[in-house]
Amino acid sequence: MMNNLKIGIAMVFSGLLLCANSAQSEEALWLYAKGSDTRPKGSFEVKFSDLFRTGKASADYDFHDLRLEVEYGLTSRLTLGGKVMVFRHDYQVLDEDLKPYVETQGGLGSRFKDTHFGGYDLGLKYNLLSPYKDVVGLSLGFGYENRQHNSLDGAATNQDAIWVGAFIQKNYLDATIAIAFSPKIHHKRRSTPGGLEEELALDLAAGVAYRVNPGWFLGLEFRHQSDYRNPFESGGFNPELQTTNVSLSDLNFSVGSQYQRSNYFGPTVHYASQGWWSTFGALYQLEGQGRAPGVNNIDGRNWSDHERWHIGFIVGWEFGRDNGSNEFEMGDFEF
Amino acid sequence: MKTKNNNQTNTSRRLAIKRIFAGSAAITAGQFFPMSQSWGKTFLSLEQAQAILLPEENLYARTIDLSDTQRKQIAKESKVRVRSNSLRAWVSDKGNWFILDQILGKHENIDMAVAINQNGGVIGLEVLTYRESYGHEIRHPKWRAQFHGRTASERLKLDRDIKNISGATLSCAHVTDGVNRLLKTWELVLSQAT
Repeated sequence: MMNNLKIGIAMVFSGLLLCANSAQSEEALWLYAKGSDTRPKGSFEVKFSDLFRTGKASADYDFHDLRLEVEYGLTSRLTLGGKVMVFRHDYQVLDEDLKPYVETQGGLGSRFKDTHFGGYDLGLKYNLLSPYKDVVGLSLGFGYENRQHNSLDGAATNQDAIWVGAFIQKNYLDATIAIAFSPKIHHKRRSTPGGLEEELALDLAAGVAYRVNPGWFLGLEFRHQSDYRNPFESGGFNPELQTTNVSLSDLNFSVGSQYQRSNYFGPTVHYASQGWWSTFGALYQLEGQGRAPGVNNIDGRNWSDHERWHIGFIVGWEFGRDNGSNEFEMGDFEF
Repeated sequence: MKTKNNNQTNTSRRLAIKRIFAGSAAITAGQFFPMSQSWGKTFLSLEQAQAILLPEENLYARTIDLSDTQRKQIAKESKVRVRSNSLRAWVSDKGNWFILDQILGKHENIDMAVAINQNGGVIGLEVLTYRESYGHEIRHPKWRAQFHGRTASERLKLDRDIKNISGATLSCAHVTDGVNRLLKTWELVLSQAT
């Protein structure tokens, strides 16, 4: 499995380098935060990312979240995106309270190591306002995600999620400074041995980046992630998921108290060249907490649902709409 | 669930994963060294742009250095940042000005030239070198023609005065800002120069 994965990655890289056209637009300046740009009409973007999550308080834990994503500009305002996820887990948990890892690895003293198809995601992003001519840039997005394996411990699952998000961007100093804020909410449903679980997952990412040299941006990024479980699951009420006063009755969903959370912060580096762009970042878990029994809260951080470091690398290539052509038709433009 | 007790296999596979990751990161890290390149396309030379914008006119190079006061005043009235305190400009016998300027693209600079007549009106605008991968539509003659005749009496605004090109908004916005800045530069500095 590992050799095939290596060969596959090498082939993807090689193929994309050979085919890449000159371009960069709507590239990611950060790991999680996204700006409001959408793809130019008729252009493609292919992105490969490896988000390496590593480190827990009492575990040898490595997780690679590998993703291959393709985006297409249906119009200059509307982008269609799809991605596939491959998860690579390699961990050995030493704390019997660190669930669900202990069970998945087969008990203390065992090790879990596996590479598997994690799931896929389909989404749309629509641009309402441009940061280059309006007061602020704003895009809205929504999509569907399916997960076949749990990203935390690698156990098999069957989870469906609908997500909605906003992409807000403000530029300063001739767009040499970019600030982005991208909140996202997932509504997840998954089958477990204990019944149906539902939750709202909140993902707030914010970033600032400065163009230090042509092609180069240095940035900082903050990310908050938290979950809110539905206390009425499988027809019963779980008092541990204390109900707040919020009820989404039309959706037959009640929002429980915050189940778990974590906050990350760290630097990013972005480089764009002809044909491709890349972003590298390292985010550190500053703080985290969890309410469920067995949640591993040590030193003010959440080790059950989160890791010490998120180290990410993204490479993007764009295709279509060849630049430099001397011939273009007025009809191609949207005035 | 899979478990492996072969320490040698575990180690080699871990190393393989780390090599892939490190190699990918090295691609980005390696670009830190200034061997990178500007890949832009030059559409016009300086002489070609001068011949197009001010045909058959004798042009005399002028070195224009802006004082701090002038820079601040131009920035204040045009509402556009003035990045350089010097201007590469040429004046003709008829009193028309040819200005070579640079504006920011998303990653690289865009070289453009603007010709302004003795009354402060734009004669024409040309893009000499374009280094970005998107937004090249600003070279279209019909789009650039929107600036002809404009003066410093009106602060041009994208969408209101200058039609935008979808997919090239950043380039359109920065060219519009550049023209605003140069028109104010003519009004406050060049019109007084000999």
